[in-house]
Amino acid sequence: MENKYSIGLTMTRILICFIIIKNMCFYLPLAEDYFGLNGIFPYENYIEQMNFYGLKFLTYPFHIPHFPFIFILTVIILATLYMLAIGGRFVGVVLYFAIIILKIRNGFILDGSDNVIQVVLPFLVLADNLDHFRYFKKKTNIISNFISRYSVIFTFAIMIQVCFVYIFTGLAKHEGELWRNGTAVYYTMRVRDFMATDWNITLTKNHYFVVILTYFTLFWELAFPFLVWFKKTKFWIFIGGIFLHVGIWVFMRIDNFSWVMLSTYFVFITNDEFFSFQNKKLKVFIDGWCPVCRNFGNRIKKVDFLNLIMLEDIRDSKVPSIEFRNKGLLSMASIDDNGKSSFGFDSILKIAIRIPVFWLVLPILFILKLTKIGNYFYNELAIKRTIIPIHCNENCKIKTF
Amino acid sequence: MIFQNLITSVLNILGRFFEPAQILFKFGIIAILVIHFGILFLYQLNENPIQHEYKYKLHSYVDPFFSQAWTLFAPNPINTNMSLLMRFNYQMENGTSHETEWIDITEPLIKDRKENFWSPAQRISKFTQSCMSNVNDNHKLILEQITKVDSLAKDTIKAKSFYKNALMTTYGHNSLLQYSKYIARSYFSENNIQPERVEIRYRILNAKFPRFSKRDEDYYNLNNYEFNEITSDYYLIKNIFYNYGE
Repeated sequence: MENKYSIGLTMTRILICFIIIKNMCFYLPLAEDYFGLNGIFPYENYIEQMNFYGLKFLTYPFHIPHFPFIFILTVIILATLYMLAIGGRFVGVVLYFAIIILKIRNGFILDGSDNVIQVVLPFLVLADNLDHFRYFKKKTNIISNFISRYSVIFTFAIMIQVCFVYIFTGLAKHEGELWRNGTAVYYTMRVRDFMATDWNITLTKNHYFVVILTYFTLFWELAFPFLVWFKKTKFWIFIGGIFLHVGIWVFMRIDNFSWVMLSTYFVFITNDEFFSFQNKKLKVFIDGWCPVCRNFGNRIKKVDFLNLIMLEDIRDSKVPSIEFRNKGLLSMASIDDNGKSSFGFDSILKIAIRIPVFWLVLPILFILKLTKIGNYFYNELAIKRTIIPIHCNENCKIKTF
Repeated sequence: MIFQNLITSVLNILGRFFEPAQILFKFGIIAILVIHFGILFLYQLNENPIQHEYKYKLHSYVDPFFSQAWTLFAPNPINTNMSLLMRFNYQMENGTSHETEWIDITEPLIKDRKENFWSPAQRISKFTQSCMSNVNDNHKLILEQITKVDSLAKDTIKAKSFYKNALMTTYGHNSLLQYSKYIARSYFSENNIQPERVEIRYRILNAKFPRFSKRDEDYYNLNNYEFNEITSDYYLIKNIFYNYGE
């Protein structure tokens, strides 16, 4: 049975693995302090808990010097392999158990995002998330094919789990006095640990801001599990989620949880819905004499799952006008299906809209566009780029489609 | 390899000759998932008689593989600024004793998080917050217990000893002592001190900032805050400088 959610599952896999790798990179220099014998969480409590859960056979010797470092490094390797679909489901299962071991070793440093990863990963491993973004070509394997027959069921299990996260957090909040009287956001934004900007004070002085956001959060969380199943309401609920989680990240610096939750939204999007972007192709003109530009183009093609980006060398291809070519040589040009031309940072933004991996950073890109900071940085980079016309031969040509 | 081939062959046979087996298998998976999410649903509901009856079974199923704790800012968000402070009492080789000033552990972590969108300080901050919340919660529970038991409520010395012993069994307290080694290591290394013996005491400072009705008051003026604190006794800490195997 073909899994109509394979693109979304792939996106979730990539993003979750990326977040795991990022977390582990942060742990790496402090591996001994976090997980070692004299780590900040008592080692004897770890042993005690492993025995309590009946997982003695999984006990990793964190007490031996350098072993915590080796463990974290192993998790980074496993997450990278799984991200590139090397080793298939087996690597996914090992990664899952490694995360469980880390959780038991020092649960106090973990947060909600780790919890979401932990409960989503087993179903993600069973669902068909390895069809796209593969380092090696997929080999047919009867065991894998057998599991794949039931992939859709496991995909729905991920969706139900995500709904559980929102419905139960919404229900718990509903019991809180501060959420019910509409003032909770005042406290969440002012508590020193989560007050990421000085704007938090100014914003929370406005009672309309506080009350509207408090009730929006509460109702949105309670509505998610019901509205996410319908095509007409799904994308509206996602827009609300992006607004909420990006807001939490910017104003409260809760990064991991926001990104992990957003990454799970992709699972709800069918391949057909992704492909409905098909008629929104973008022709991107790249300077073939610039190695950085060629590299950028080739990298973009690697993550262009929806096949919406068509790359062309501006020096060789047919362009609408000489002015277009001249301008395109200074900053990356693009033409969409409606024939509208864009240059520089605007082209970057249009590319990001068409590539799901970049959707999470879209709000930031929009802010960069509105403030014109994006254009400034783009121009700085574009002017300083290297152009090598002499060494260029057919091998350095970008892939064109 | 042989094992894999064996499984493959068995699955092949099942797949080819027993088409209904596949359907049955599919319904089997669905049934397992329905039970799985049913258990999780029951586990996360408010306390009720059914949940109470199966409390231990539910916990043993959910933890550690399917832990569900979706209560960030719920039922009520944290509305107090918690600060962790530590001070050390150390003895040098020549027998002289010294006491450090209170070292603010929380402030540098908050500063780091504020300055960086992605910061490892977030994890340490999360760790200290969890420890402090755990100590705060247990502190309340132990005090409640002391007031409930007559023999403790009437005997201050006994109550104090009970409090200390009870607190020493909590994760929060033990983790703070463990974390203090990390702080001690950096403090003594930075100040080029090699102590013979080190004791630590910690303080959890709970600062209640102005409530919503007083939102226009100056947030940064500490006169508008209400404070309460938990200060521990001195505890001896060992193995500060990585003595593996001791």
